[in-house]
Amino acid sequence: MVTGTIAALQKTAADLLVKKTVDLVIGYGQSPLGDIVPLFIRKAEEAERLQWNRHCTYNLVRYLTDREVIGPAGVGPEDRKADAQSKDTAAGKVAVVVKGCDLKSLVVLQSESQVRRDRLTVIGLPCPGVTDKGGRLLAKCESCPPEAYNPREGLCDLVVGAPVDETGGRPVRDGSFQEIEEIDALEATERRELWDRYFSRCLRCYACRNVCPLCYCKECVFDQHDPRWVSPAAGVATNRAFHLIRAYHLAGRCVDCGECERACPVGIPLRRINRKVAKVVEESFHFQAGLDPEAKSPLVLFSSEDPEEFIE
Amino acid sequence: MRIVEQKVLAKLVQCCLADSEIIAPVESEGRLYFQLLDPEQGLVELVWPEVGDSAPPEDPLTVNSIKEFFFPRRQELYEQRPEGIIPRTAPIEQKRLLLFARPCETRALTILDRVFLGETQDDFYKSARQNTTVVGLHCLRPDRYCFCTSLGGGPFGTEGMDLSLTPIAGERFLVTPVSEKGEALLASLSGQEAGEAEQKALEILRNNAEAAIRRRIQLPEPKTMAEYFTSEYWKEVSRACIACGICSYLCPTCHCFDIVDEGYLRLRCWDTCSSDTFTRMAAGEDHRKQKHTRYRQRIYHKFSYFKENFDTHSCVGCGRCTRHCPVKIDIVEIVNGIGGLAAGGGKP
Amino acid sequence: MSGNSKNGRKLKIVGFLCNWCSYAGADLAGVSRLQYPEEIRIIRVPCSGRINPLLVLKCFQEGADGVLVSGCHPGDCHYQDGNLYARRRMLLLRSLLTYFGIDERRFHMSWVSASEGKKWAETVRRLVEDVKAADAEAKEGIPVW
Repeated sequence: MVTGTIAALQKTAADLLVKKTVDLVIGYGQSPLGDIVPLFIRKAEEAERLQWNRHCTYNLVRYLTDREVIGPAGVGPEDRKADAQSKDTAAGKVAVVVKGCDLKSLVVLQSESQVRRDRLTVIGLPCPGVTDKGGRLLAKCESCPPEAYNPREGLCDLVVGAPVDETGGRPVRDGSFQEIEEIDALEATERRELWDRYFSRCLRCYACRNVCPLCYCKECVFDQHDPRWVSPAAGVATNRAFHLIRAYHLAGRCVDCGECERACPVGIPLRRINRKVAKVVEESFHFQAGLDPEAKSPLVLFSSEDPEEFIE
Repeated sequence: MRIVEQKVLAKLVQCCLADSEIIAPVESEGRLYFQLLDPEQGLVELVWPEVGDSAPPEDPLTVNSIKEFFFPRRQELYEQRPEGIIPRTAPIEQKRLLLFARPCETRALTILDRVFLGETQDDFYKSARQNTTVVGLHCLRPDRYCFCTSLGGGPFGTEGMDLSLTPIAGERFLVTPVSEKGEALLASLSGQEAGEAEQKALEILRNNAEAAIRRRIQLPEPKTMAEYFTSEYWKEVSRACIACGICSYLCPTCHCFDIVDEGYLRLRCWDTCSSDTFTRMAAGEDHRKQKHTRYRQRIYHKFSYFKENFDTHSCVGCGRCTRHCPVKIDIVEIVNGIGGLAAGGGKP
Repeated sequence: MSGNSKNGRKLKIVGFLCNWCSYAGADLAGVSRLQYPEEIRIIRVPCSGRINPLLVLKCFQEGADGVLVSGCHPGDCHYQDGNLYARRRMLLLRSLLTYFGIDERRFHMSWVSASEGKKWAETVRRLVEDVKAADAEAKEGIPVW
């Protein structure tokens, strides 16, 4: 029962704060307008504001690389120095609530040394899938492998809530890359038209980039002006470059948490881009992101077996 | 006020296609956008407002506002070639008919006028305003994000419109001219003159719509805002913000822009103060590197500085910023909180 | 031998050549007086592994009709394994370019060693033919990028 889970979650958070295991809990709350929002609490009394329901779509792992949120829990040299000087055992320790998909992005952050795992308390929540406002299961949840419904115990510090049945429940599409294959099967001109139509809508708001837990570069390639790789002005050509490069930078890193697509105000099907890259990475480099915190990114590796049919 | 049947209006719009560009809401994959209609498609794509039991419980609103038809998101200005300057933009000469703009965004045009038609006039903007007939649509069912009434507007407002439409049952509209352009357009719309019954019906619809707006912003005095500029409050309220550009770009009153060179081409494009490169300067200096300083800037610009400079807030309560924010940052809650800080005797 | 685009405009093709193999191979083609299209503009880099895919994309954005990346054969890289990283990178880049509907004939990759002057000339000829074919089939009014 979800209500049982909420109570358990609230108690867990309150305990962590009271016992000074952490000084910040990142979870889901509810706004006065009734929307689920990210919640940042520092006092045990605030724990009762924590929520958990089918609308908890956000990937809160995104905040673990935001220094303005996590403060000294980060990986910067200034944070490690602050640690050494701090007497407060809770200072710079953060608890974060994660679903299976969110947890995968944390695994990638770990493999890239972007979090100090010893300063995190990861609270896993079994997830039956999240929905949009209309109650429809999000497309990303339809592709969620059953093993991710319940956060892997080895990767979380705590799991709150009853496990979700891995055998029943949501429809799992056969061949999760079917959508991608359909696009691949189109003529080049049709694909060009398809994507150009979406790229003409793109506002370059960067919501997709900013909501992504793995786009954490302090100076993003798109903000560089010397050299300037892509014009910051929106336009079909520049937008195509933006989406291509961002997808490329996420190769072997994107775990398909789907936040980018959810955040996009103009409905660009971004998952269809990231999953194309995931398909290439899986088929050509035999790698899937988000499973092993010790794994190295496929682009810093090579194999003598790497395909080279395209090379003359 | 005249009662005009939808099919009569449709016929007029169809005729206008011959000599005008038509901008209207179009649906794409479940979302509504203001778009220039493709003359070859005609009115097929145009989404008409629905009234009655089959209508959705809340008026479906477009993602983008009408702002971009006066202040384009990408505007190519000129090319600087060795042989000389080649202009790439010109004042609009083509007539345009803009359909079903909501009262909030038409009111926003009057606010944008203060910026683009002030001491320095933007020729493109000016010609766009002059050559566009704005046909507004009243809101029967504002959603929970709307808060136009506490900013001097309302679901049945007409500021910035040339002609206003109130949709009523039976696929009809109550049509009221607001300007001379509107009168001219009305002349081509046949229909019965509205009587007392219709006036009463209008009043009821208006009252219902206004009552439906529960969200209220309490605007603090610029003086109060000044006191709380350095408060830790700004860090708290902006913590969840991801510093993207959705609120600025969808906002009908936000108007900041950047000038960018692409090869020979110089162009103007939208920019957002939320971006961490917005205040980046030539030597790399950036005085708003911290996220909370940027969020604070956004609030102060809209509710303090703009008010002080132009005697109007740079917000019309359309709610898009909250409606589309990926993390549902609530601008109303945040602004109301300033008053709360002051009332609670909070230290600045 | 010249490569002109559909409307007679001269084609702009950029080639990123690694210094130790491909550039030397191209040089050999030169001293051997082998003919190959002049449209290729060569940029010498230390290794194909130095090539950031962003460079390729920058070429397309700035108006290139085609781009070539050429390096040493696997196993022969002057820096041991630079070309092996390049192989992975360019495969991925090519997949994305094709996915977005950019004609795959516009982006080539080749292994050309220092002694393969003839192969170099053939590679460029093939590239220019491919780009011309892509141009010819391109829809009216649709730019390369």
